[in-house]
Amino acid sequence: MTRKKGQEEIVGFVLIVVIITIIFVIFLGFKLRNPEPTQKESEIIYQFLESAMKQTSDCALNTNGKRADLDELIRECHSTNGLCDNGQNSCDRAKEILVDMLNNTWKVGEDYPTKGYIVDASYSYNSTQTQNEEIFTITAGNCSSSFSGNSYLIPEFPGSIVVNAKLCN
Amino acid sequence: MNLHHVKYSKGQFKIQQMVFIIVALIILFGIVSVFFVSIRFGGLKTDVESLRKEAVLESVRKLAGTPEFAWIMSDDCASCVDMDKLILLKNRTSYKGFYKDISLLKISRIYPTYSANECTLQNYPDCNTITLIQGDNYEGYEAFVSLCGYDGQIGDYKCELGKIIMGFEGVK
Repeated sequence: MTRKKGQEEIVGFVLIVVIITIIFVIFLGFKLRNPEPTQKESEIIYQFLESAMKQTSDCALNTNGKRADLDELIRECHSTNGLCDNGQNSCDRAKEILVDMLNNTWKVGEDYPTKGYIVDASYSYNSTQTQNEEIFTITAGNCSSSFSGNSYLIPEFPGSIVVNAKLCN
Repeated sequence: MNLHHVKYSKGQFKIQQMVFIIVALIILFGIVSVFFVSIRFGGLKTDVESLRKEAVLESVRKLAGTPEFAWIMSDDCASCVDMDKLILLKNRTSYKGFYKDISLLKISRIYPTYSANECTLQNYPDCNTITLIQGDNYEGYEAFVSLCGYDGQIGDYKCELGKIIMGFEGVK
């Protein structure tokens, strides 16, 4: 069977269209798959962390009986892991207060807009150092999808304590 | 003139075919470009909205720095609000109409919470909310602050986590 030249040209055109469509579909596939969770810097989380660190606790670290703020409690937790005047461990109390504040602020679960959260505190000697000393981590819910987060720095010579919070959507 | 008698040369047909193919390709590329642009800039509107929202949150929080709200016992706390000032501000008639275009202005304690919700001079400080302005038809924004005040039980100042809730008139 002999093919007409016109038919050959139509086949060529269809081939070009098919190739372009395949390239487009592959591009769309890569674009929409988005395998890694995306992170957004959140102003509201920074505000939360900054205000939370000013929370006056029920823990007095000195003999003068002055109750420590949450940031002082985290500093104490990192430096000596000391005890409060009521015998509670400073690290445990800092975590308990933070958990209570988080639970009062965001309802977490599959039925809520916030699916989970991760809050961690670590000590960093300088900003360029990649490895940090972990102080504590608090997690709740499921954090596999995208999240918004922010960090708050507590100065602690010679470096600083970094408190990171991530809210998963 | 009878069109059936017009003779087209082979070259003219070839040019016509090429034009058809070029037009078809341009249309195809056009459709692909429209898809690409819509995907590329699809998230732009959401990004702009979230940036605008963050700017509003920032301005809501700036209220904590005004003389009527500011906590002056600490030098390094820009986000601290003086609850003792606010409970007195609540019933002051001289402040009626002071905050323009604001339909709602509330300060709420988040942690710890007490059984009494609205604060009065009788139940203060064991209460959760001080409502300064309560109107309707508004869109509310919340910003976290520290609520500070003197605590007679411990004989010292203390700060707790709270939020300023502000509703703007006519914002939809």
